[in-house]
Amino acid sequence: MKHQMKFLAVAAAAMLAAGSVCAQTAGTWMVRAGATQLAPVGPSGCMTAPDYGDGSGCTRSNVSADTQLAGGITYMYTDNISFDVPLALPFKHNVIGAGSLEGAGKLGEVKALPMTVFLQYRFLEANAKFRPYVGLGVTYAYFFDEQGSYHLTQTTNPGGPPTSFTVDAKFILTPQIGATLALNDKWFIDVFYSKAKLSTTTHFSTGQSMNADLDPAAYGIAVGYKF
Amino acid sequence: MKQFKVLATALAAALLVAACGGGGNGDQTPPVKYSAVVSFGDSLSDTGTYNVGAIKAAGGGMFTVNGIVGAIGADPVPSYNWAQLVSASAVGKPSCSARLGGFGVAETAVAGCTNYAQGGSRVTDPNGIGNASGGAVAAGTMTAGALTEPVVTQIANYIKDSGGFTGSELITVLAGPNDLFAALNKLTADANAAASTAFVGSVTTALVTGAGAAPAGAAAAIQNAMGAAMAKAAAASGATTISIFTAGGNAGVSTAAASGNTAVMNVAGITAYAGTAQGLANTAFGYTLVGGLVANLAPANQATAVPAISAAITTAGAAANASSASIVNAAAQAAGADAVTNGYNNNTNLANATAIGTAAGNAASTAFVTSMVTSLTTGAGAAPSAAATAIQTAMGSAITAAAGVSGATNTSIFTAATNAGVMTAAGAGNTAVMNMTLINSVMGAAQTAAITNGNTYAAGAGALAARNAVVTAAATLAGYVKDMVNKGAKHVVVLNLPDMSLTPSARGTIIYNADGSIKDNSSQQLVLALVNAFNAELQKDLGVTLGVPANGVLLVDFFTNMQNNVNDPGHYALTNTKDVACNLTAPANALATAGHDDGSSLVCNASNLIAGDTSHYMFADKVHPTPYSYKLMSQVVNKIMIQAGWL
Repeated sequence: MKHQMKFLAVAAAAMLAAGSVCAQTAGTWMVRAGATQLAPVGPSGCMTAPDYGDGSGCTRSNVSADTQLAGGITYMYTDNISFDVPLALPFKHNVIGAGSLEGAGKLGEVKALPMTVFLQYRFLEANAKFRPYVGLGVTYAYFFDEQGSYHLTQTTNPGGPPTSFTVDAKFILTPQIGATLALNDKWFIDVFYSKAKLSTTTHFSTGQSMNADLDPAAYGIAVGYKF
Repeated sequence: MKQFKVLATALAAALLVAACGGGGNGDQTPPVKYSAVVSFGDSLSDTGTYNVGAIKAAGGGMFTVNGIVGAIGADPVPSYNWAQLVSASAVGKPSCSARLGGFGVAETAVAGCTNYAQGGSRVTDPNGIGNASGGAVAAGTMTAGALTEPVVTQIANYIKDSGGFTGSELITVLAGPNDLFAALNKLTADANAAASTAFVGSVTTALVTGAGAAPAGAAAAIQNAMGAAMAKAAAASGATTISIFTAGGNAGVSTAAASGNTAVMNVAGITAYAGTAQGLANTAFGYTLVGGLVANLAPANQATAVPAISAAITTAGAAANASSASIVNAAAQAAGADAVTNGYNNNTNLANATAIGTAAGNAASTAFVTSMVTSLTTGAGAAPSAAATAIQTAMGSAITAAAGVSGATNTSIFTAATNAGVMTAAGAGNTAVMNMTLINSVMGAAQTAAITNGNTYAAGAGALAARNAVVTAAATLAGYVKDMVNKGAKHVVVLNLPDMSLTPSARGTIIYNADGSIKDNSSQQLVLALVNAFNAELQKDLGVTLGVPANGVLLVDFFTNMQNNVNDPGHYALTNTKDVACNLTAPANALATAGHDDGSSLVCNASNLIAGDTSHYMFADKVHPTPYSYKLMSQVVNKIMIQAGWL
């Protein structure tokens, strides 16, 4: 991290030397739009009994990544400190069989809506063309519209009523790094990377549950406008 | 600003879903369409072939805990087996038995049902486990009434019913356990026969050799007697190895003794009994004879007659070849001489001499028998008093028979009576007359020879024969599967044999030491070896990799799954993988024999379970799963099919 910061600082210094004037001063509002990818890590922990355990293995799942139209609103509280609220369409993730269910394909899908407020610190001067930043957000990770699949039903409750599931919502902290590159006085490009620590539990209608450390990474790029 | 709206909309939608409780049903469309699930096999797949007549009346029908009602997927798990649940998964409804009947009820076909599996069925042999073996079975019969149509017949019936394979069926095949049981039964019978032969041979040899032994010519009689006794003992309810060997040994010893073997008898003891008895008999004989010959004489005449007659009896009795007649004759002559000498008339008594002699003989016999019975039914090692009548009757018969023989003497009659009494007493458990040291030694050596021979057979030729039998069954089954594919079947799911060595049935063969450690698990290991031999042959002949479909065949590793169930019960929410949920004893279980926990889950339901919560037990009876266990089975089959792209 420290190494990366140093690299960014050097890059920013180089841009400053170019002499552009692009202010992100206190009181400035910025909006942006682009795309964000949300990528959880896997696999999950073991499904509670009855699973397909054999001493070394058990029933697990992976969650696929998704990219959605996304953006955000930023308010410069001082020349360096800002508040940022990312906005995005809900992310749709597939739940894929893993562990003993490797190869079983899609067990279901779930939509995720992470709602976050970041407190950011933006380096360099307000009018720097390139401004790296770091942030720490409070996220409410909310999951909805969970849909089980035929294969989930037939592996958990053969021939029975469809197996459904829900995923617990969680409050978590989300650290973030990013940077803006001013294109002109109004328009800029924003990139960021964040990595949250998210452990949640999936509850199945069969009475079983499955813990997962999803620890999602988010990558975003957007075009922004300053007011 | 527009983005706020997006967020707001998304949030509202999310809240709406949340308010509804979350978690939708998603797309439940099966990716692979099947017309029906068709099952071939045995009790593990049977959906109620025998749910008729007395079995139905007993609340049974399937080989699990019957009668747990509820929709599939409900808790407690309702009474469906894995084949039904796979059917419900693949085509939306559980399968049903294509044939009904058995146990005295005529077989009928059921239209629209495609599960042909029948409890007890083998791969090719129609004589399955519990089959009536061709004999007529009365209605209401609870045992030996299973149809057990073999897999080859089941397949033929499906082809006949449906017109042939269309390729749209999902076919399940699970067979072979009953061929393994049949092989084990044959092995047990053959090993027992080998052991019995060794036992009989050892006993016979010991009884016809050595000092005091029966002549070699008695060997055949001894062998025949032992064979008959052991067959009778084996057929008796509650027969054990010990009871069979004991019966055989007793028959052998008795026959040997009757053939003149004195080594097995306690000769000194018997001689003492006979001596006492003979003394009492002589006394009774003398008193009766003298009394008869001096009856109604004047006291003065009696005073001279009694010593004279008594002296004559003593002299005649001491002569070689003395008999009742010779003694009575001598006594009558002495009585007559005394009457002449002393001048009185004894003609009346002398005229009755023969009758008096008969009465004296009867008195002697009675005294002899009474004494022998007393000796043989009292004291250490004696037969119980209840045996007295039998001893008495046997001796009486022997006396009558011996007396009727021409040239019968007192000695020959008493010897015959003694032998009859002793043999009967020995048969009734009198050890005092037997040479128990010798007999125990003979029996011990014979049992060792029997066990060694039986084990040698079981481990050698017998095990090989059993292995060959199951390998043949596996190869035949693989042939049937490939034949179905050749005839148009496109999806045949074959389950290999579970690890049957982990069933309560196989575990029950383990012999433990006093400290709980295993003394002998060779029978259990034999089961495992046979299962492995079957599975290896099945897989080799099908030419497939476990879990990987090829040429229309998908081989499911039921073997490993069952091991996982037992070794990792927690993963499967199994609370007990060793004991049975059903009460398998009589009278709770209608298929049990009194005194044995040998009932079947075929008539097991909620009313005859053991006490406690058995809902997550693995086994219903000693070989069949509970409904919960069947559900686990169906999950595994579904999983493998999903991974193979078949579901």
